[in-house]
Amino acid sequence: MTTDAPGAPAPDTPHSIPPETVAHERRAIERLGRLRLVHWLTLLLSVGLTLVVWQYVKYQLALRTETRFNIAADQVAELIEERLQKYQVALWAGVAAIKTHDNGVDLDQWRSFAQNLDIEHRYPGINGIGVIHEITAADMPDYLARQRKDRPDFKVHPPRQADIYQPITFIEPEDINIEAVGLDMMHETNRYTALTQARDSASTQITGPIILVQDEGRTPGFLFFAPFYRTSDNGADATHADRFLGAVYAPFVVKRLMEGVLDKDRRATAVRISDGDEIIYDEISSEDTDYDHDAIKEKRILMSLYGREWALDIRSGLSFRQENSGIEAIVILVVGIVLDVALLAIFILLSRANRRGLRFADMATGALEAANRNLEIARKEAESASAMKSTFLSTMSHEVRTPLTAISGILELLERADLPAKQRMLVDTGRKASDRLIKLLTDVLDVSRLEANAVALWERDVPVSPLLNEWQRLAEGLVEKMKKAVSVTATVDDDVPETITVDDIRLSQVMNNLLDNAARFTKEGVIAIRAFRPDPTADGVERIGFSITDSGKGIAGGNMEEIFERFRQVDNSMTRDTSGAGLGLSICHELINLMGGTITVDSVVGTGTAFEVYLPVRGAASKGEKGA
Amino acid sequence: MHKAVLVADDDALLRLVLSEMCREIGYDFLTACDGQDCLHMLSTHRTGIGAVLLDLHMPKMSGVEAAGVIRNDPSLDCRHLPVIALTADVRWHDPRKVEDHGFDGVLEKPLKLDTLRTTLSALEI
Repeated sequence: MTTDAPGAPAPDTPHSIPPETVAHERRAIERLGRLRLVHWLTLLLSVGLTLVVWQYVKYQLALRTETRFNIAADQVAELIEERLQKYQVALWAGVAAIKTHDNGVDLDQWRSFAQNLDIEHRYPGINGIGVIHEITAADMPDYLARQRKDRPDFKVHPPRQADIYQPITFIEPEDINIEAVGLDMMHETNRYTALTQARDSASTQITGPIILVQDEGRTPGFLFFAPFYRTSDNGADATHADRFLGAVYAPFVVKRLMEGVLDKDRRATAVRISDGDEIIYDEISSEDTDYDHDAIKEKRILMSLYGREWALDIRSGLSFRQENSGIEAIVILVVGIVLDVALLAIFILLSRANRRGLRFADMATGALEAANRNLEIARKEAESASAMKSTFLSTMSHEVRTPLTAISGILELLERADLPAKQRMLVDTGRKASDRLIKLLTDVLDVSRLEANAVALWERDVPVSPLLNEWQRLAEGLVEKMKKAVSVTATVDDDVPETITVDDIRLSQVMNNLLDNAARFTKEGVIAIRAFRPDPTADGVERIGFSITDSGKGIAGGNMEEIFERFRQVDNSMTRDTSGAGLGLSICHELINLMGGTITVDSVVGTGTAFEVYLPVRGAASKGEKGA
Repeated sequence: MHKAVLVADDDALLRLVLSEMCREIGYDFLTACDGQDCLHMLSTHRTGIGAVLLDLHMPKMSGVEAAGVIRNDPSLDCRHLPVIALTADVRWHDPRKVEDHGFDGVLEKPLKLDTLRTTLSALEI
């Protein structure tokens, strides 16, 4: 079994960071933790982007609103136009019917026509369909007579003395339009003007705003004329006015007309129709539930319709506002701002974390530095204590040795004198005590010096055999002194070198100690000292071995290596007959280690103990190699 | 018949004991109490002194200094005189070290009679 020297561990090389690096790093960390230009620029960029996107979306939404409104507005205009177009077709159909009857159509025929036309279903909004004839004063009696056949109460009204009359001959359905029967178009400017224009242009025309005589509500309305003519007799160009016979017409109450156009409830707009300065239809009213005081969009569409100029004022309502609230833009703005605030918050939090980290680092550094200072103080104290201890030991050793020399010398001298038995015994005892004291002093000092690495080996070339002999003599002397019946043998193996390079004084000190133990613990038998040549180490270093084997009582216990520890006695009982502080073996161990060797022990209780010392051998010739 | 041994030690007690030890093993002795005294004795009794046992730690002039003088002062004619260091100071218990300072050997205090006898007889004074 081998052990390593149980010495003190080597001090750690400190991993210290130079102060300039620490300061530099700290400044850098601090700088990085502040909210710097980069952060502000980033925030600025983010806010900028938010604003830009918000405005862009707003713009896009406004465009969308505009488009939607335009579509809605145009739709209204188109529907009106479409509707009137349709009615126009009905009028021409009437004209075609009259022509089919060779310009002469009677009440029944017209009724039949009107019924078959089914205006209530096919042409909702139209108030009726009728015929106007231009009648001269000369033809009037005939005309009246014809009409009175079916309608005895027929008369042309309002009464007028003129050369030409333009009465409404038929109007179906007659019941709701009864007031219009016989009404003279020439009595009123709008009606007359439009009819004249229709006559002269041979195209459909509508009147300006009028109140229909048959409209109880007296709301704005208009008439729609489609003129018809006598066919040209001989192909000669007669003017339209000459050939004018009359017109198929339809009365309209604008309100009824618009009802059919597009259900207002489904529109998000309100329409006002004006003919010139007169408003003929108006949905725009603050009483309307959909009325928007601050309409988003308003538009005026001008329509030229059959001789009239209508202005459509279209105004967006509350529902339009709701549908086009543009809330998406606000949402984007809010979200953007929230994100920007979050970004700022993150920057601030990170900055705080950095500062906190820095504070902690400073704290830890402070603590560490304080600890280091304390450690430094402790180290200096320990060093000074150690130095003091060394000095103390050396000084004390020196001081103690001086009187000890005197005591030891005197006792030795006394021993050689011729003394009575008692005095002899006393002197002998005194000498033993003095010897023990000397040994103790030497051991303590050795331990101290070994610990302080203050022992220097003084190596020289030493012949092996005489060395063994010297040890044998020493052992024999010890055995004799202890009065043991023990013999001592010394052998040198053949393959051992003749001389070895060694600090023989120190080696002998070790051997002395081991032999002293051997003698002490062996009652009878043999102490065998042997020099041998063991195998080289794993690294190939040659070695020499010395063994001391005794037939003593042996060493008990499991862990043999413990005996090399300081202050360990082999026998710790009160009755132990050994002296010394237990330093001997530990000194042996450390000395052998200092020499670069190893020391081992093996023992069997009751049989004996064997110590072996292995030392590296340098540059020595072996016995066997010497000579030829 | 041996020459005398010069014992130089500042401790009176030790001078006595060491002298007695020398006498016990058959040597005459002279004593000195410090380095200077030692040199004085040498200059006056040169021919009768066969060896010097020199304590190292002495007042006025230490053993080390004295050894230096003994070795180097031609007027003393002691260049070949055996000078043994005799000291309790373990730092000087190194033969190599004492040799460097001009000593021929070192004896450790406390000193055994046998050791003294062996050393002195080896000097053949």
